[in-house]
Amino acid sequence: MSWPEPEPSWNRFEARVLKVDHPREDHCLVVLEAPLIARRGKPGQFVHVRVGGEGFPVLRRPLSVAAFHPDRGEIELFFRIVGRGTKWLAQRKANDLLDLLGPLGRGFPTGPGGPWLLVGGGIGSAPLLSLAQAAQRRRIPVVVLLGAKQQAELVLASRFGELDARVHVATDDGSMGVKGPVTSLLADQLKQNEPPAVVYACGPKPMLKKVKEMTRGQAFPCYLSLEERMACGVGACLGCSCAAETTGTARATTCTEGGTGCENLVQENKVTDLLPGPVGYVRVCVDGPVFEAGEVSLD
Amino acid sequence: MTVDLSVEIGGLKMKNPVMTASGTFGYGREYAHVVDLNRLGALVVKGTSVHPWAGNPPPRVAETPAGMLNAIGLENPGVDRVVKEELPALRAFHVPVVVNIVGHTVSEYVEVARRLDDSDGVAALEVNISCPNVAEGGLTFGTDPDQAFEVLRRVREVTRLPLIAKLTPNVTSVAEIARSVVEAGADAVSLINTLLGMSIDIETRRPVLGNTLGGLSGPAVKPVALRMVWEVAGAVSVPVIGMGGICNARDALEFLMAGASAVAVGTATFVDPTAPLKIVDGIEKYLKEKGFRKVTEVVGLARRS
Repeated sequence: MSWPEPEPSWNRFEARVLKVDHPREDHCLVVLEAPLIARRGKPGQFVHVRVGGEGFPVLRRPLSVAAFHPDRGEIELFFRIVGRGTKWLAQRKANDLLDLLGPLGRGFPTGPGGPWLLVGGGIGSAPLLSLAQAAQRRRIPVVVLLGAKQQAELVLASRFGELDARVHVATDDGSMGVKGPVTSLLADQLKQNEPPAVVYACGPKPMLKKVKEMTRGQAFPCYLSLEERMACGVGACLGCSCAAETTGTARATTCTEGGTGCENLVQENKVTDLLPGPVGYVRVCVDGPVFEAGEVSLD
Repeated sequence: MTVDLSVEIGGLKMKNPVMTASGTFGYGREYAHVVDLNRLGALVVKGTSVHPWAGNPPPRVAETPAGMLNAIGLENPGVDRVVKEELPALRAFHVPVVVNIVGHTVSEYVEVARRLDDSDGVAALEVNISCPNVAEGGLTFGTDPDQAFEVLRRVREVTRLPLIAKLTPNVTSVAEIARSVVEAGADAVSLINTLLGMSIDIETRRPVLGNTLGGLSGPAVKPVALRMVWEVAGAVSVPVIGMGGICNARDALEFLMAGASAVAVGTATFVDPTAPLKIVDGIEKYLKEKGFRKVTEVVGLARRS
């Protein structure tokens, strides 16, 4: 399993809106002409999208890329409309231009072995779609577990279904697939004879926490894609931090650029009693958004 | 006709009056491939302490009307690593590097200043006595004229680098604090740091920020910042660096006309990384159009009676 090669750099792009689709009222799919991001982006990476005009909303919105189409030079963004920024974005029309920074962040690490087990909760299934497409291209078998409150929210299920993937669905109200959380599907999968080569998950934090617990100590690795409020999106402001695990392979923010600073940090914190819990933080924007499950604390 | 954009801030020579605001531009390398650092007046790097600081629990940022709250808590790797790993790379650029310094105690400020005074590639120190997001130090020093005096006096003793005192708006009289730090030996003052604020999520019924309180920045604070720069420029004789919600050249010119000799751009960089350079260009264009030969000619222009 190896992490994707870090791109030399992100850049700023003006991307033309090709299509805006509303598969349901509060969900939006935007197709953009962004050839460089489509070619260079990796599954799990995100773009930082400027929303609104002058003034308000102020900050860009980080959105994971649901699909890369290097052949057509297009990318797809799939998001839930939750506030002013995403509402503004959902009101764009074909031929509008969007100001993007990207591709950003560390995507999903991949290896040659299969099968890949993908676990998506709600809108968290978006970055997993690009991963499933990558698996298809590489002829690696994929099992996809999707969960949502109700059938209507499983808007990406058909997209996964178009791929050569086995898709299992769970809904809270039982309106589609198994009634219950997506982690119950994961429990079933982990009981199967053939263990997955790797588990990838994206979704609400409680779901990720459960996935992390269920895969702890297993022979296969588990990677989680995190979401956090961001300002800069490029590692400068330290606004999107997530607590690093105190044990294991945690790479505290201050330890990302090599060296053995982690030990120093632990000692310093003990001495000055700066922080009662975790010893450090990782930046979701550049250290992630994808982390090995043992790297981050989700408490 | 060319316009002279150069300014001098208490011994710090800059090719133009536009700086980055501490904490919003990392150590420069994060943006170096999209922003020509050599075109900045100065690069102000993240708050630096003697020991590594872990910072505050997340969430650390929240958007608010025309602004944002942050409660990073001065997370930084400590002065040793900044000197060893960040400053050398910046020496390749032709831009003055200003290091923002923080401490829990006066002696911690002194120790960071001493270490940086010994290091190559530091053009000036910005003494942060105004961070609202750390429990001790920071803001406590900046809200009391005597403590502010003490920090600047002690730091002054260990360095000949230009000293800029970064002031908080969370006081009754910012002019009083400004007079105090100048008396203690500050070569310049910069303001405003962020305004203390908060936000509550009515679904979870909890404060949005992990630290409960945070600092407000962005366009929302500009009128307040401008008023404070106006007050301080009238109260002290040292140069003033104005900041607070500056998004474009028009905003920057307002601060210059209020009496600031230079400006810093922070939150706007998150939206547009090239904002500082666009502001340099915009100031130059304005000066040319209006027939000014030097940027210093507009400093304090709105103050004339």
